[in-house]
Amino acid sequence: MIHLIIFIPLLFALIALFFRGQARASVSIFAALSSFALTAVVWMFKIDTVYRTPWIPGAGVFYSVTFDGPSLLLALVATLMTSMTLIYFSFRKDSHQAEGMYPLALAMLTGLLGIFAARDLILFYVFFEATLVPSLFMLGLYGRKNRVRALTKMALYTIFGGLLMLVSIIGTKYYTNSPSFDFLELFGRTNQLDLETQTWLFLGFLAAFAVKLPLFPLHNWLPDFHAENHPSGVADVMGTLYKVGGYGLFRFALPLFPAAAQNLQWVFMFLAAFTALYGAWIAFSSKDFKRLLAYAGLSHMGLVALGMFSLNPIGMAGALFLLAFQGVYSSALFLIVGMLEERLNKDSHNEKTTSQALEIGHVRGLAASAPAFAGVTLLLWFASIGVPGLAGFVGEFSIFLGAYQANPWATALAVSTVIASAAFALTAYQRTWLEEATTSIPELNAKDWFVLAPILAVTVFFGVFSGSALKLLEPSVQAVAGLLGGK
Amino acid sequence: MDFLNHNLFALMPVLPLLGWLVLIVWGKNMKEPTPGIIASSLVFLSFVLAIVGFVQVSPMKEPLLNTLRWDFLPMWVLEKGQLVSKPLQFGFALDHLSSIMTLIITGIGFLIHVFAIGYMQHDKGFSRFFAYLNFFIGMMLILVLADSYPVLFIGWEGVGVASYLLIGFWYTDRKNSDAARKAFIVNRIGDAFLMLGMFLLFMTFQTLNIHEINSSFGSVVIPNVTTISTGIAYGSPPLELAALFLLLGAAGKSAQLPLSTWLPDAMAGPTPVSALIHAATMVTAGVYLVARSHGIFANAPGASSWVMWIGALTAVYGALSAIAQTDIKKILAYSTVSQLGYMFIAVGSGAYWVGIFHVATHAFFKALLFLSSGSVIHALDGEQDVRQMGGLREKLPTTHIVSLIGTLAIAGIIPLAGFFSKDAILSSAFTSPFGGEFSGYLIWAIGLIVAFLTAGYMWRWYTLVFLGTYRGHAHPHESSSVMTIPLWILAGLSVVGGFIGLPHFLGKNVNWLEHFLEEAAPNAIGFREIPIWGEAILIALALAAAIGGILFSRWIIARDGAKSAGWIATPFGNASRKALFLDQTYDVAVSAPAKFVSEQLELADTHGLDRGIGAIANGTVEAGASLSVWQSGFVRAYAVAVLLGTAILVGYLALRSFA
Repeated sequence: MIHLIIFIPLLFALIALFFRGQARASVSIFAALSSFALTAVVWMFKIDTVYRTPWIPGAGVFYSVTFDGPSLLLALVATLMTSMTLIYFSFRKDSHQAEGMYPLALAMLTGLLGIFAARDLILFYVFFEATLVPSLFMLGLYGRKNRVRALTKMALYTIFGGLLMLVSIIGTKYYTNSPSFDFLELFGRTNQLDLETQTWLFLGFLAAFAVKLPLFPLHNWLPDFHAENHPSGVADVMGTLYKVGGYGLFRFALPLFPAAAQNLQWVFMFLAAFTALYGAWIAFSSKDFKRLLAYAGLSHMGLVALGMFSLNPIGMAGALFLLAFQGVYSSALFLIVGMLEERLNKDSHNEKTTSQALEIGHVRGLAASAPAFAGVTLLLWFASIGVPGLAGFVGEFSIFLGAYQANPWATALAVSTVIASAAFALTAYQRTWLEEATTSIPELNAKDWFVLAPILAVTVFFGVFSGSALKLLEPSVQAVAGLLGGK
Repeated sequence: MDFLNHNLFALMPVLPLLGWLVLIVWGKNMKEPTPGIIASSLVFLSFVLAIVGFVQVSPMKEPLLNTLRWDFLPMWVLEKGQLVSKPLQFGFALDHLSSIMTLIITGIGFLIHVFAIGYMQHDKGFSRFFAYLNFFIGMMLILVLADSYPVLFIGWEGVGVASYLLIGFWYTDRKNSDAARKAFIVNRIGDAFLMLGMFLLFMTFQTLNIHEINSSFGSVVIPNVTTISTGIAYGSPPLELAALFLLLGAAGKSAQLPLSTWLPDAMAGPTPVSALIHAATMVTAGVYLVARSHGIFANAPGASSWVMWIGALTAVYGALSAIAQTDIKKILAYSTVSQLGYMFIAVGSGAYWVGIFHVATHAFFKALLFLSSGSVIHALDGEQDVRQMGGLREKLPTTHIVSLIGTLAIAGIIPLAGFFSKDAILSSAFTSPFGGEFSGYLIWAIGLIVAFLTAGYMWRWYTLVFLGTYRGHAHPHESSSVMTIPLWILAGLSVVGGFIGLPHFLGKNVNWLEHFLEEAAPNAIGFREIPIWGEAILIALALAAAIGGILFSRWIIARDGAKSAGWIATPFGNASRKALFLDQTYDVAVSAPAKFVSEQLELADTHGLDRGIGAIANGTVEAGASLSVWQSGFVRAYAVAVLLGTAILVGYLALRSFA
């Protein structure tokens, strides 16, 4: 079952290459939806997904995969959002000009599911890096004018971080004399390492995860990545789902090197809190929606890192919750920007009109002609800035609550982002949707609703009835927190 | 049946939220006044449930907890060194305190809904308006029924969202949207502190359940002697700090200094909104929060005296700002700021029932005054400048009578509602156990001055609107009965509302409200006793201040004339009209620097920090400028490199293992 879930998207990505037009779209959407449906089946019927077989036996590399609670939650979000994004993309007028998006997105989905499932460090690394390839292709093939620059930046940051992690992975096996790269075998041996070794190995992992999160000052590739990608937002959604740094911390870096994590805790809590505030503060001055969402995402990731480094179960559960659900509402905001761009942009090949369509406040007062569109946008923004009753709050609040128990000062710094994020979100919203109308746009149509309705439902439902998602996270979080001493 | 007994009251917030959903989805297709009728009936149903709940909990000593609950937030506590998962539940509780609040919210809320059917007629956003109003009522009910701080916080920020939507209801005007945004952001400053308060409370008590925290204090707490069951002593730093955090949170929602600037701007919303949200209910949430957290505040003497002082300063600030305003609603807005200051004095003094008492009476007469101004504005086709009014006594007879009742009630003229609650506030400040005797007397004296000012500016408001001759150009007409009936009911409540909290010198058991709230929000320990004749003197002085204020105001207006500038042209008048320059101070000291830093950071982040890796990227761009990316082979090369790298790595490991 788990192999089907992971590899159906990749398989169908290859099949989709043989089709064009509507057929390709249908095949791709079918693949993503099947993957989602199977993941949901695993969730609902609590199917056991543990699978382990030697892959490169001599080297101790195992094909070891499983969907436990956190993996399952992230996999559900990734498959659902990929499906919705591909459906949205197939409705777009310009989708036939960028048909490569379908197989690339599916390939990325396989990579993401692999990342969430992998329990062998080499396997994890392979998925972690391989997912980068389709991501770079999307940017390189369908990006905007300065895509090469954005691409180079992203590639350099990511590869550099990834290599350091690889060194650490090999080092971990070497120093622990573990027979394999399987997490379960490494784990339990690493705590016998002395603090210095642990710290260096930990920092190697951190290099990759801090770039991927991203954390200040390794975040610089992110705004360009979003700004230069295809205006439809497909690549941005996949990029948002690809923010797996926080997951990597939780799954590997923290449990493998608890002493190092505790030792460096306060440094990274402050860095994370600073990242959160920094992102939100810059977002206030962003002039284009993609950059705004990039900095908003940076701010979210600062919070995720804060929750993880709190080493407190409440904070870590909050961080996983936020990580999963920002994949829903932050991604949806990229789709909203895409829908808006499609309505405003007369010529998608023209760099100037595209820029204008993405510029904040270039047109105003859109709520007058499209009130439901405005309302949906506002609701997603409220979710994003952590208004309670919506899914963003549960994660954000728990992160703060847990982090405060570990470090009140860093948390107080981070809590100030709730003010900054309200300021940037409502200002950007007002500049485009409220005030006197300068133009009118078509209201959301049935196709748009088809894409947005499930997203809104998830955002509201898990903001109130968060219990079912929390239940998925609870055992793993408790186990990791137990290793880290609980407080 | 048992299930129904326990969960019926939890329907209270559900009904209006249902109304919101229905109206937001289908409201556009409904004809006026259907959305108004749907919204009003749902709030009325909630009101009926509030009465049922009141009857249910009246004889009970413990709060009524609903049984339909689910996990909401992840939480772990350490028990004997073991991490134990105890998720926070989404649950409601009804006790005497929240029961009083639900009655006010749904009762006044219903009247304002009905009024709005008349006021908002022919507005393009008629159904949207009622959707938002219903949303607000639902959130406010969640706020007061919550049995834990995070659930309370849902309502707390929820009413902030409702307020944002309603202030900016006519969003095409940039001024309104700006006011809405400002309200939300300033409120969020308070919210950030409320969150910090919750985190500290969790650290101290290992729970965020309100009733568990309150009951963890011993039943009798004697200053400096008793330690509490959790080991947290009276006046210990974590308690004081948590109380201060809650205070700052409350200050945001209740427009106390230094977070008061958003409320006057919030008058940009339609008038029923001003009445409902920005006078009667939402802004009293801060007072409710302090009363709800009575256990914490009663054991935090330092923070409590801060509450009193913040309240006293805000009361003066609001009153001074109100006296020279020229907008009919702005006068009432600053008056609200000032009256909320009174409520803070009350809850800071440790007499929590007094704060709730003034919440109730203020809800009656301030809703009345706001709706009356709504009726005036409606009659004058949108005119809001009191200098363009006057002489409306004959033209709007009903509005005039009810406005006079409201004015006298807020001024504190015996035996109207405001008289009793204001007297209770002043005497609780005079005898408060917190902050020392001298501070108590000083706050009492400030309260007395504010009483004088209140009577003064309200009489000016009444005179400029209703007395003299009409100075404007519209054709005033009295409002329809859908608007006047709510006015009459509120006027009636403003007359008799004070009798629920009669002063002690009239007898031992005449104070119904204090007795009713003695379990849910008991007074702090250690109020100074004053003799009965002392109480009578305090009351006489308060009454004298009110009458003095009215007479002084009459004299000034007679001297300067209604329309002429008079003292308003003086520097003092100017300062009052500009609300003591608080807004300008914020602009210079906070907004402008924050914006500047943001712009600089944005520039630095997009251009400056790029230097290192960005430069390499630039180099690549230049090298391959003439070729497209794909042709330049960069992507392909990279992809191959990654795949090859992985293959080589795996291959190497494989070979090594075989060797």
